[in-house]
Amino acid sequence: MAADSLIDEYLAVFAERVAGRRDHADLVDEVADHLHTASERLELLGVDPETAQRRALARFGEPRLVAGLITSVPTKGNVMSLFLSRRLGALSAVTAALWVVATVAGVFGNSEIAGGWTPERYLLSSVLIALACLATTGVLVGMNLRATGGLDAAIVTIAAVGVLSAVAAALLSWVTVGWMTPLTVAVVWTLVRARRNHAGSRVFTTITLVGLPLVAVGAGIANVVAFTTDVWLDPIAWTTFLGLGVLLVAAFADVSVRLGRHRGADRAVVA
Amino acid sequence: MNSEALKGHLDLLVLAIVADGPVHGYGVIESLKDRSAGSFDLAEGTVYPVLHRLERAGLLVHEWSEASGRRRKLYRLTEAGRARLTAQRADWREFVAAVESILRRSPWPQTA
Repeated sequence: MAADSLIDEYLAVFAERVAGRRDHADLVDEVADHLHTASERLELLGVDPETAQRRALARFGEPRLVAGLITSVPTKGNVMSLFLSRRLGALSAVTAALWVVATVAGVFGNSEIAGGWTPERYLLSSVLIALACLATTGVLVGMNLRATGGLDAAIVTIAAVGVLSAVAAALLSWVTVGWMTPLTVAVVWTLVRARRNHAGSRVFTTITLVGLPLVAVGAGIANVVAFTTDVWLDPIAWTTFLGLGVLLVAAFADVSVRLGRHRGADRAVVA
Repeated sequence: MNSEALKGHLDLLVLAIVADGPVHGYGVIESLKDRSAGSFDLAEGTVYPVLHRLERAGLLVHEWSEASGRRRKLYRLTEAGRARLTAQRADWREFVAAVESILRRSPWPQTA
């Protein structure tokens, strides 16, 4: 029946929007019960089925908006998700600041500029990059928990890949492809998973999604040239460091500012 | 009534309605509308995040039942929810009394 399909279509859109939640089946069942109850009440008042369903849907609200409001409340029972959701803005700000420092240190630590290369400069840059990678992993885990409401296998994998990037940076930061690649995988995977309720702007998200893989490829080329020709291409190395740094600083600063702007406004908006 | 006026009071109103017994989301919305004589007529989907947030805060719990062949989620107050309702109700009455005393335009207090 045409009328039935209206609620079904609504529920399909809603279900897609909450698909990442552990409790998605419960959320869909709860909304389905509401919509069917509302339309049945209207039918009892003599409204024809199709009009009853249209009215019930109109009163409930646009499915993407409602799903967004519902998924902004972390799943019950997951203390960590609430903790990270609340502190994600601050953690993003710290991460953006760390990437500013790590980017500058990376350029100085891996080049001959400003007095020539020294092991101390290189080691310091490695530690700072590793710390920035760890902070990034923390933000990514927070973004995933915020999106899904609970811990799942993908979050554990993303966290492991993020930690791997930090270890690779600490051990051998000049092999940029070794830590930029896992970091790029973790960031891109998270942004794709969490895009529906990502706090950051779409423009920054798109630029990051396109830019990071390009930077990782650039890092790979720089490393291959260095390995095969004994030539360390400073311009390419700087470009990859600066590119990665600028992208991540902009993306995390954006998330931080936006989350900060909305902090304390976690009550559901009455539309 | 402008729905903006409801912001900040929804928690208290929802707790008060759920206090009357296990109720599903639709029932909460109907009670809000009926008991306010139609003044609190919300976009219905916006009540669920409030219910979920109150449950997340430990003020409500839910159980599943079945009605009309469908799963139905029923909410009820916890002890913490009942305590919060009592406290918020007292705060609200104090607030209303204070506003009322100002709106009554009582005469300027006389000193000795």
